[in-house]
Amino acid sequence: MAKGWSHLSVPLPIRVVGLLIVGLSLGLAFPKDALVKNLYTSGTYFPRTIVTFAALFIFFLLAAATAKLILFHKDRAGKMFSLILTIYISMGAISLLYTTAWLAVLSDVPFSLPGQKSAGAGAWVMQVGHTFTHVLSQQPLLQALVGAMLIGWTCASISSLLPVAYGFISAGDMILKFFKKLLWYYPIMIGCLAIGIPMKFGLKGVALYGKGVLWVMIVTCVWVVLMIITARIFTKRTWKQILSYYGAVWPTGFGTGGSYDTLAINIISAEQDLGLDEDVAEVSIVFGTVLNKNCSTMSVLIVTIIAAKMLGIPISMSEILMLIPPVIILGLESPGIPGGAGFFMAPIIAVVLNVPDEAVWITTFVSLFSGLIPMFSTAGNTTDDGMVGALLQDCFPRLIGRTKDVVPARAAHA
Amino acid sequence: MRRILGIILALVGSWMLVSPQALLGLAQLKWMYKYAFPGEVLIGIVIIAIGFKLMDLKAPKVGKPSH
Repeated sequence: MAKGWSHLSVPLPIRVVGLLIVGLSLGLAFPKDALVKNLYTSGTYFPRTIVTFAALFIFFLLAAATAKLILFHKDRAGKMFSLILTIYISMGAISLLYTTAWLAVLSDVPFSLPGQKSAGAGAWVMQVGHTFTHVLSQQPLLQALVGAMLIGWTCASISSLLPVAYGFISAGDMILKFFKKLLWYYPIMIGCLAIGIPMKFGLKGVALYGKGVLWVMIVTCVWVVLMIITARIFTKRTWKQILSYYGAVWPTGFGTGGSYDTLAINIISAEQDLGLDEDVAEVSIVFGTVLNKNCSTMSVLIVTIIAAKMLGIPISMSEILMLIPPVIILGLESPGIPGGAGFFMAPIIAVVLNVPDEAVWITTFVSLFSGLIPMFSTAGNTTDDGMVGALLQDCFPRLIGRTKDVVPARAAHA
Repeated sequence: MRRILGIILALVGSWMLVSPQALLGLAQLKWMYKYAFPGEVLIGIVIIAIGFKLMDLKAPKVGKPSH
């Protein structure tokens, strides 16, 4: 990020928002201009290329993430490992159920589509199971997803297969380096894709994008308030500690739009403001940076509904519920780069929803999952990491090897 | 020789992960789908693993988390 456009010292999220506005304006003002149409088409090449290589990228990223967790963190984190993993996966599931409840209030999406019979809970589980079995046996992306977790875990656990795990880690790192080198292009691509929203869908498209941003803002900000209240009730952190932490980390996450870029300030603030012990802060926040994208997954569900409405694809709450398990898994491997969740989750969602034109779905999804949406998502993701650390330290002291129930920073603040 | 064979297998396995999905992506690369067959992804994963094993890779340096 030290080259190219960053010489202009304009932060990446500002460039994204700026070019998004330029793209929307161009699409509104010149919807039939050949040059503007070509600009839009140029923006579709990169996402379509990602679709071509999606199974390969998802496989290496998830296999690498799984192998890294086993190899590099298990011993260091000790008993914390399984506890943190459980907390983050549970939080991911709760976040998505919470978002689904919000969507039932905010959107007019029916529970089931006309012509579909309203099934009972057992029948619904059977339907989900049948759909996943069918999709898993037919779809390369989901095969890559499940295969990556299994082989990443196996190779990191068996010493004779460690070279394979190292290969996955190296390949995963190379893919992430490649994407980070292309971050300068991300705002340009978003600007080009944004042209398509008003060009293809008119003012209705722009209004739907605005509605998506508003829903993401409401859902993630209420979630943050709930997390603050939960932390105050269930941990020994003071209001001052919690609010100081949020005051430092939330704006940083919002400004960077990427959890990786927020990592340093997150760890420092968790220790200094939130008063977590150094090892608890480091383990919970490093793990969270890798594993926890719960607010991004909330935004993914919201953008799914907005994209479906924009493209005229019928969607129901039962399909949204069906998306929850794969989105939780994808949340564990989504790279912490701005808008990364959109790139890597869109193809899988297209498969699960069985959309008629996958490429159109992905370009629409990526252009919608931009601007303010990843910024609100990252702000929520990163602050949740600190709250998980607080829960670990104060609610599970014995499980993480604390014999004494000590909260030094609180004492210092008092 | 083992290393070269490992690289070739890793590339073949990578191809097998890309080819079934190629139909849905970039128009210029759709021709890759012609060579797809059922179960190709899972076989490709195993071939990549064999390739990496033959390459006998060493542990990469652990720095900051990359996700």
